[in-house]
Amino acid sequence: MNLIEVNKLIIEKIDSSNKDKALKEFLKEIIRFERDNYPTAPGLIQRYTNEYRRISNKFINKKGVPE
Amino acid sequence: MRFISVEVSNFRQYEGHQKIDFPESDTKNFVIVLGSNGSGKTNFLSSVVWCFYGEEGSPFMQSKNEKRQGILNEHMLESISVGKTAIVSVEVVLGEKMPEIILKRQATFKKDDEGHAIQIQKNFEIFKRGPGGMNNLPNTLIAMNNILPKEVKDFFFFDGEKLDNFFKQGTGQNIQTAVINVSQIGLLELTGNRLEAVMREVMRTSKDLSPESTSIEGEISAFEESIKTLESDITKSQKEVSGANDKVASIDKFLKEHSLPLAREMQRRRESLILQSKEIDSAILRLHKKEAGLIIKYAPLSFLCDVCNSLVYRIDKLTEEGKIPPDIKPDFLKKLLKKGKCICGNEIGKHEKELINKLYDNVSMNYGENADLWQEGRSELANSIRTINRFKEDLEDIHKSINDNNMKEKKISEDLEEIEIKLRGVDIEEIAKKEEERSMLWGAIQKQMSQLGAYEQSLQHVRGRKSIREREQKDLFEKQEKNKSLKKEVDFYDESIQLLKEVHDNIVEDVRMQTEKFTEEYFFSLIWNKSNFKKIKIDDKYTISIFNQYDAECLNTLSSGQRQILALSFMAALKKVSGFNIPVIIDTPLGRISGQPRENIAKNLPEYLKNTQVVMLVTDTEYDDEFKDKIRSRVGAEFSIMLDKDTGSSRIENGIA
Repeated sequence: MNLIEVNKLIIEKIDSSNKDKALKEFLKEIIRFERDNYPTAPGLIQRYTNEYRRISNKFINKKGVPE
Repeated sequence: MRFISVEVSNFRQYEGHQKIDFPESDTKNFVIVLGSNGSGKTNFLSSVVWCFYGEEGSPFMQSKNEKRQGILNEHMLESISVGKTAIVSVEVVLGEKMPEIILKRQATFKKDDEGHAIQIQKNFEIFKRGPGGMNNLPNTLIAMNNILPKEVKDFFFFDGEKLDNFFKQGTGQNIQTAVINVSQIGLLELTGNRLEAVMREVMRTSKDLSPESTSIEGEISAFEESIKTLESDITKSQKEVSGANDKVASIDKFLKEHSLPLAREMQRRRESLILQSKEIDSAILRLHKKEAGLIIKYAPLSFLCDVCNSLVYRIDKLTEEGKIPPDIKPDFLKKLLKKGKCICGNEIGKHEKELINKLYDNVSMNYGENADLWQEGRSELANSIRTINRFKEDLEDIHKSINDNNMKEKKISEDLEEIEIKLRGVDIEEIAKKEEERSMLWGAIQKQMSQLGAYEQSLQHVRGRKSIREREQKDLFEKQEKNKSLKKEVDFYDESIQLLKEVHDNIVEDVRMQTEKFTEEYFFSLIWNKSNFKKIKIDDKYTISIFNQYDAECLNTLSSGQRQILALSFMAALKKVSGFNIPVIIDTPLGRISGQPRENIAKNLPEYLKNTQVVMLVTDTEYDDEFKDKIRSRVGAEFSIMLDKDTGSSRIENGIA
């Protein structure tokens, strides 16, 4: 385990889960968004809500679709 | 990466420019900086931490600096006129063969009319090697997070002597914080919290929220506020406990080393009593756990005690009246008759045979198969009564043991109070004063610990209530037909939150297990009396336990030196698990360690940290000939900190005089 690449580790853990692929892709993308801005990511709820909803729109309809 | 150089200017007792150039060596990764007490070793460590983070604090290095105000060198402040400025700066160059990262922090101070230094400007820059040379990084916060996140710094820059406190009080909390910090899962927690907020925001956008839903929303917001307040209270409380513990530790050290034999003797006696008290506390805790386990298992049955007893009475009565079969199995009577012998081996006489026959006819003819059922029922009832009675006896034994331990605890408290009174009455003002301060601190720690417990309980309670309300709100939202289109989105977030939680717990658990594994490995290599110990465990509540050869938990009975070895092992483990390639600075690493353990540290620590540059800030009593001999082959450079007693300023020189 090398935690210096903790973000890589998070992605690996998400990938290894047996949850729906769309969910996993959504999470990976919002984590990338937060990582690129962490620890100075936008703090205003409206700003990140917009971003999260924009990202989730890409994946919601893919949920449940077989890989 | 290693330190290539550290340049300190006007930082506390370092007047003017002081620079250490660290030599490059693959095998000689240890650097010794020797200085007497008060020469500026801790301030050297503080200067590096200040350069990295703009603050000096670490739970393991606070108390030594607390009396000093401001970071500007006092002699420098005296020498400038009112209205003039002076600059404090620290520059750290990191790299392997050539500079890869340069950290430069500067603060400008102006002398005010009262002679105080007022900070008027500050600046922090990070340069990183890129294709075109060293580039100034625009966002220092993000850059520092990649170099060495603040949460992890305490496993790289720390005071060895203060480590002893790490395992003294609030252990579980300290370890949990360390494991969570080293896991760097702040990013996951932030994302999780934001996902929850987004989910609620989406629900809020639903038209015509029902009054009930609006009211729940209000409650959730109030819970969130309470959680924030409680979390901040807990952090504040923990800091206060840690600070007070540090102060108590230094008073204890002062008393234990005092020239007055009475002070030394009383302090040693006190330490032994505190150890005994901790053992008793652990025993009481174990007894309470046992009591809770028994109650959970047998209390429901014990509520039926009266019912069982009255049932037995009624059954006996009905048996006497011949309304139910006697307490005997027909099969058993049949076997007796067939064998013609009693269970004691004697022949059954004619008269007895007739009686048994009569009994058999009565039981089998009048009650048939029911006779067996009655027999089983009686047996079950008897078992239940026996279990209830045993439960009561066990509970009584436990209460007696708890009571005995409480009596012992009371006696220890009285003895401790007596020591306190004796020390406060000593005819040496310094001792009496210190003892009074200790007494106040001790009282404050106990009060703060109980407050902390209350805060943590409240936090758990509020979190639970918030979670229930969130579920209710989601249920209400889903019931409304008009929310159908949003429901899909809300469900999507909800499932994402669950997955994120799984990932979070998974990472923390991995880190906990790895930390446990390496702590144990390092501890057994560093400790001198290995055969006295069996294993180290960090459980899921983050409580560290160390077991002796008899499988008994013995953390509270470790000596200061043993505890320091455990803490050093824990720090080395966390550093390894974190994976950051940054040098380590340890202030006073051997303060409480002597003899064989020192040799073990000299032999084994360089092995664990073999690819890491380690700067050891030592006194001459720590860096004695024996230790020097053992570690010589790994030492790449030696420096001395020289204190000018007239000016109070220090300078760093190459080599050791």
